[in-house]
Amino acid sequence: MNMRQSRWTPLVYLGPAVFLLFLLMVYPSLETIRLSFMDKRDTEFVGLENYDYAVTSPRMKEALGNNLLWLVVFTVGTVGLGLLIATLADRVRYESLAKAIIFMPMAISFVGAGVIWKFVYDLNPPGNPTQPGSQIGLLNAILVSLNPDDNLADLVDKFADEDIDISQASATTAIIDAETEAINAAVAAGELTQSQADELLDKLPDTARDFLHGDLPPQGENWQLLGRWANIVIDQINAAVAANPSLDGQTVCKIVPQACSREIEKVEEDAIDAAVDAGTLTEDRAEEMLDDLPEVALAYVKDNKRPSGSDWQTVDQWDTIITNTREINVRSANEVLDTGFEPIDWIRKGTINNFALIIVGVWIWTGFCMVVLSAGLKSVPKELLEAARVDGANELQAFFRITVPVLMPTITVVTTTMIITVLKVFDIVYVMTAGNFGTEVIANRMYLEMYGGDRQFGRASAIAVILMLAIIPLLIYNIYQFRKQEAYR
Amino acid sequence: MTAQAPRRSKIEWGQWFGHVFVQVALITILLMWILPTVGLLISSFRDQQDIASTGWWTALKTPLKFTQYTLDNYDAVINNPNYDMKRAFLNSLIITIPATFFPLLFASAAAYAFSWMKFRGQNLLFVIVVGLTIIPLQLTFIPVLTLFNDWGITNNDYIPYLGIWIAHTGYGLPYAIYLLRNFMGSLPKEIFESAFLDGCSHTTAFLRLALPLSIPAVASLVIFQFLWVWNDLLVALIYVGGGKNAPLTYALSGLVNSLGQDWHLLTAAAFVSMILPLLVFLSLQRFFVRGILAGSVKG
Repeated sequence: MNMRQSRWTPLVYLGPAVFLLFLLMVYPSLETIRLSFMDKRDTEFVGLENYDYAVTSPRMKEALGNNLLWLVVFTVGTVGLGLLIATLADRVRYESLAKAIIFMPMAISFVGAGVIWKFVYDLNPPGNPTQPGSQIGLLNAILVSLNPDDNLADLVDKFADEDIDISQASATTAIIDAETEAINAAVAAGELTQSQADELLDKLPDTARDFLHGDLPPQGENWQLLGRWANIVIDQINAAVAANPSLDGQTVCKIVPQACSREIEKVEEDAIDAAVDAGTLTEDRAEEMLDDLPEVALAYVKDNKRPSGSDWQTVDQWDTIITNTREINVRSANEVLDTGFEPIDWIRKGTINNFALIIVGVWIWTGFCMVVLSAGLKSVPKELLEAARVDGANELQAFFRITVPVLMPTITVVTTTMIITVLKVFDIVYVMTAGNFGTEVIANRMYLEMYGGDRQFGRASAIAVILMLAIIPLLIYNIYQFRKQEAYR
Repeated sequence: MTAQAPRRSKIEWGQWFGHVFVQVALITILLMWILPTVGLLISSFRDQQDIASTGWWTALKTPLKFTQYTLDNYDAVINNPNYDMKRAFLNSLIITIPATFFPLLFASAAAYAFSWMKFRGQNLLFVIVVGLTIIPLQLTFIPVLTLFNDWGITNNDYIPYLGIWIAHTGYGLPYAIYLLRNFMGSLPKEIFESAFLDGCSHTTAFLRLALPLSIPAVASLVIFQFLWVWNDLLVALIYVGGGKNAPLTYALSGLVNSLGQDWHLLTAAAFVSMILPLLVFLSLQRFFVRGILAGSVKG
């Protein structure tokens, strides 16, 4: 276009960029492909050995499977929610505020997002002796709040109704006696001053009664046995049950189904293990059954519902177990009370945890999809939609017959971007589980092969190449799209 | 005319129902989106005992009871040398500023050449750049790290950040070139033609015409690259590793492992790492959105 351009001018402008691109991207990519056929220290050609490892080793198989799950759930989730939110936001007056809220996670790091969501997923395990009961993770708190409001006082009353020798008063006294003793011991050991102890002892009767009715004692106090208060009451109940031979197991199980189902679990677990040893049950099936066991046992105790599947080992004896269970076997008093939803370990529990991580990804990336789709939405001709409505189409029809087809090119672009993103997912997994508990993904595997333990550069390279191979179709598509765009210019 | 009356009221009822549905659905989604972050923020100001025993939402029952809030958690993560988020914050700044400036400088020069110069292999070279925008960085780590180690620029005591500066500059280039080329290439041809006719050199055309006219695109990219580098964990893991030079993301992920359930510290540390990007986002959101749109929709 201009005649005075010397041959070297483009070089000055392009030089630094081209040099860096070659140094950091082109050369290393080719070198990595070469390394993927070499052993871990780049000394010997090993053919396809690293690739064989990359598709057959258990951890990589797990990673490939999980990446596939991510690919489907994450992509559908981000694009679907992005489209939904863009459509909804288009119809309200606070559109820009709504979009800013959805988009905000894009600005923070995946590590920060990981912390945010780890906090949401936090679990206070049942029976935690230092902090009984309360869930500080939002999700588990919601789950537990759906439970009937059971407390120790109700439990004591239920047993009292069965004519056993216990009352709220005696239960409170038991707590007061044990705690008084512990406080006095703490004073003797010099852990509490006498005035602190007096103050505590003063409050003790009221606090113990409130505790029985479901209140946690005020924090920051020097209660010595706080974590065991519930168990003191359970011990009382057990002593009373033992002293009353006419009370049968069935009645006890009606009052505390959780405790009885646990008795069944114990016996059934042993039976399943024995069956696996004897070869009458496959390990896979056994694992499945052990996963289902708590639910199955509880359903049997509460509703007398027999499990489906003939491979349960001792169902016929379950009734006997219930009849014989007179004493509440306390693993944790909280579990005895908890007759509804148990809090879930979102990060560690298999299968669920993969979805828990994917949700974090969706939370971050939906904003991206929404912004792009929302811009596309503005370009859907209003007249077209009006015409459809006049012709009697309802909103859903107008959306699926007009908006979606017109938006299709944009949806395709967003979808490919999400697929490219999700194939490389790393940070979320690294921060939240480090690939443990069945949440491994390809990128984390590559990092571990490269930096973990004995630095398997060959294997890490093969994994990186596989990642690249998965992306190549999208790369070709991108270039094809770009060419088409250029033709318009 | 009278026959239309019932029909219209039916439509209005349907519209009203649809409107309520839209509001309820959207507000539910918005709450789901913002509650996790609100929880983190509130918790970071709560007392250790309170956080460990009650959910953050209990603070909302008495939002104006200021005695329940404390700055102790921030004091601990910033000033306690065991956590030292102050040093990590500084590291992040030192890493991010050059790693934002240099890719932008090199990319705008390259984009100018692609837009307003003619040279052999121009199209092929640009197609390669487009391809590089989506290459997984994992494909480059091992050879680049080997090179850096050979040259002694990783773990270098004098300029410990040189490796990660170079890495981020290279990795940021493809997208920046692609975006800027699309922008500069669509500037009005006539301006440049008449400038060249008047004897304007490429240096002048680049510095006085192309760059100033591309400010919107450059601004988007600055925000983009800044957030990308600030929020990056993977590249930092590879080229800096741990130690006293690690950025915030690395420091925070380390705390996640070492502190476990100490939420009073984790929430504060997480917020320290998020404050700057959040401020950038809130004040410059428009440019950010524009950058995303320019990159993903037809340029």
